[in-house]
Amino acid sequence: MKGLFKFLAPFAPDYSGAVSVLFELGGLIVIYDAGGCTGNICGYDEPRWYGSKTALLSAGLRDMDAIFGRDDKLIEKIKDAAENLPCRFIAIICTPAPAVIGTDFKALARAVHNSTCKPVITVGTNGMDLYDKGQDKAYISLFEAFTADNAEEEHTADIGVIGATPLDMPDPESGLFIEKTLRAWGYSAACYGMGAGLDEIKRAGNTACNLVVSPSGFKTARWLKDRFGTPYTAGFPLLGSKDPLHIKIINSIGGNYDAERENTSSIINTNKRVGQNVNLLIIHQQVIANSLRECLAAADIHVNASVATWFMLDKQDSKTTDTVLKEEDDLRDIVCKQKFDIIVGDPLLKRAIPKWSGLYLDLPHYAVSGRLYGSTDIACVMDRIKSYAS
Amino acid sequence: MSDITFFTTIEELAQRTKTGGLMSQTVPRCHLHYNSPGASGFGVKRTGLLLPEAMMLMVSPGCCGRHGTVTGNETGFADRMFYMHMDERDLVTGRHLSRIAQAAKEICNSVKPYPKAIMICTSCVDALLGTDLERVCRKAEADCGIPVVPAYMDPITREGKKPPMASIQQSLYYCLQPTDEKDRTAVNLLGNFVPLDSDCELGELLKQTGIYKINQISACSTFEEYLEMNKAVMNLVLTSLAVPAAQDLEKRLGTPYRRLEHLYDISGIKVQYKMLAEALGSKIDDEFYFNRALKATEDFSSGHKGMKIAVGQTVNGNPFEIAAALIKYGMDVPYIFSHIIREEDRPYINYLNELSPRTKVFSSVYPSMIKYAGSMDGADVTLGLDAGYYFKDAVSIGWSCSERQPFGYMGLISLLKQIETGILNPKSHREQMCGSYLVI
Repeated sequence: MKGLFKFLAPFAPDYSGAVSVLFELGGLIVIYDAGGCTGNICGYDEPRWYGSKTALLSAGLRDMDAIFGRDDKLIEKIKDAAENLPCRFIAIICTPAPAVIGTDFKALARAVHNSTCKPVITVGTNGMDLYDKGQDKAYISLFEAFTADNAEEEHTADIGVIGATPLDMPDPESGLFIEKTLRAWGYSAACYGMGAGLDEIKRAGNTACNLVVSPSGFKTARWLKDRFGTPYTAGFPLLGSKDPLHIKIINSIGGNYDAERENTSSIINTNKRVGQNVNLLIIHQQVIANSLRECLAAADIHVNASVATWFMLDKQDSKTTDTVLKEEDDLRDIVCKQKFDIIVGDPLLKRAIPKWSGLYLDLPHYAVSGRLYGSTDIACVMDRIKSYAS
Repeated sequence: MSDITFFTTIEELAQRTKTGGLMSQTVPRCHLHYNSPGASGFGVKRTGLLLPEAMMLMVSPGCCGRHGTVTGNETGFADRMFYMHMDERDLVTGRHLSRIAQAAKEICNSVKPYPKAIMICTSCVDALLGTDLERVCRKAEADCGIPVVPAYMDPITREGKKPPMASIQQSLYYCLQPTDEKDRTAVNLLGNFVPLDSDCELGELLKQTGIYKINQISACSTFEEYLEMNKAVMNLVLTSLAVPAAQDLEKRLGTPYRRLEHLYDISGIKVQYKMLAEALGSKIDDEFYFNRALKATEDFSSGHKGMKIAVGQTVNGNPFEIAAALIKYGMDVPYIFSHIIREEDRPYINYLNELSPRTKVFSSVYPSMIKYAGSMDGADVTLGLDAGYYFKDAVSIGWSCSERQPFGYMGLISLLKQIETGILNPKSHREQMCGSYLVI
């Protein structure tokens, strides 16, 4: 039945994604909810919350406030908080309740700005979309609001990393890992929202190249390309400094995106002895799934790899066998029809395919299972695939 | 811009509760809310699943069920939770309501054995849409052939007459039917999330009044056992959140109720047992337990006189009452954390005003509490994970309602023992938070 989930519990919603982007940037983040949505973010979707001094607050919306449209009360509350807590901007994140009452967020943002004299951004999330859509909206709102046309070039990083949040990354320290890897390749990096702050976003127009590490970064990367001519590529350096992503970055800085893809295909070894009859399904966010697929190919493990995702699938970066999952039955259907030998995905997804008997390799995704599972050693996953395929 | 987080004192609170006009910082609807990592509780879904052999269908935008993803797997109720996700069209048209019966039926047919009941839980969205969930449940009941119970997870009504944690208590007893076969030897205990501590004296004392059985939903392992709760001669209500449920049972089943306060002041416990016995038309001799508790308080006091204890709102009891009791036993309570001042807090606030007017009271949801994460000092021990979050150098003791259910004299003794154990074998606050599986 459409919309009914008997085996899979909810994934991180869009407002959690929006908060994951804004969390480290020094803003006052107001979740326009009654309290439950904020509780979900703080307790389950934001691993940085414990010990943090980030001004992440709930609007504490109540039924009478919603029925009588008491936006003036919210504005007063925000003003009070902005006067008591240091903040460089204010972000208002939407949830289902204001969506029901049809809150005019643009007007609300104007009113809050007039009241507080702070820059205000709103993120039009609704609690019904998934985290990646919220990230996508938050990134574009942020960059459109703050990236300066003529920012000083001093202290600008070579590479801007867009799309890195704890919800997407294999490990809470992934931001540092990406920066470390890029540094090993000779580049300075600004991992926006996971290490790099608002000042780096202001200078984002000056970077030499942008690296998209999750699908929510594509729209912003394209916006930066249109506005500032900054080329971009997509990938996550799963194997550290040995990752084939290095080639893509070199080509990206040196040329345009299409040329870079042609060069990528030329690095794949045509030796198809290992794994050519093995069907592999990778279920994750698209960029990490693609990166794993590329790492396998670069390591001469030529399994027939398809990507499935519950989240955004960028068509430019996908193959014809890749698919978007919407309903619980979709996963069961493709697994039954396409007879995969190996599935790599979050452990919680196994519940939806109890009758499938192939090799399931765990690759936790925080947006799916939260804190239930620890980080995964990607190299170990690749070794197991290679071992199966040999 | 103020650099000092907001607090008031017991003295000021006592004065303001007499004259009316609490400070806006102590009234949650007047400001944005801080969601401290320590401020946690049992949650509507987990409470609803205290109904044995029942399933729960969450009908809401997908986000509302998110905490169930983690806590369901951590606490083992994931197999009993199902989700029907609403989309934007459902918000506008309400068409999701017409699919609930079908969803419930599909769930019942997919689990083995067939469930004994199914709870349909809606969210703030349906509260704003004015959904008649009871009517929807009647239709689903006709299709599924089992009781279908309405439940509401709508924090948008939190400071209203029936907040979500009160309405879920009412939902828990929805299936109980009127009966003429009353069991004069049985009472129900309402409001606790886990069974009473096995060493609690309540059972033994009630035997003196002719009551030999205390039914608790958290102790029922079958639906049939739960249904027997309709035969109890009285409902004992452990928390104000369960009062609406008790009132509903009084109306529907004719079962009277008696409010029991969860007390740690030894004199208060004694008076309460006396009054309970009178309500049951009998007498109780509690001297043995009273003396045991008295000795425990004296021993504790001699070993820890003057110890500074910060008390949070997530403790198993009323934070103001616990504070007053601890001060009476010779402790010092410099800090209390509470996000709201309720009518039932006033007598304890007035009493505390006599004992310790300078005690600081922090509004735990006021935004400026962010500044205090892990940086407060001046407490040796903290009670409640919410208080523990602010004092990284103090001994943190959870004492929450989800770990255990203490009561009465043995509850007091258990608290003092827990503090002793915490001092001897301290556990980090973070470790306790991770192990608590509490909804935040």
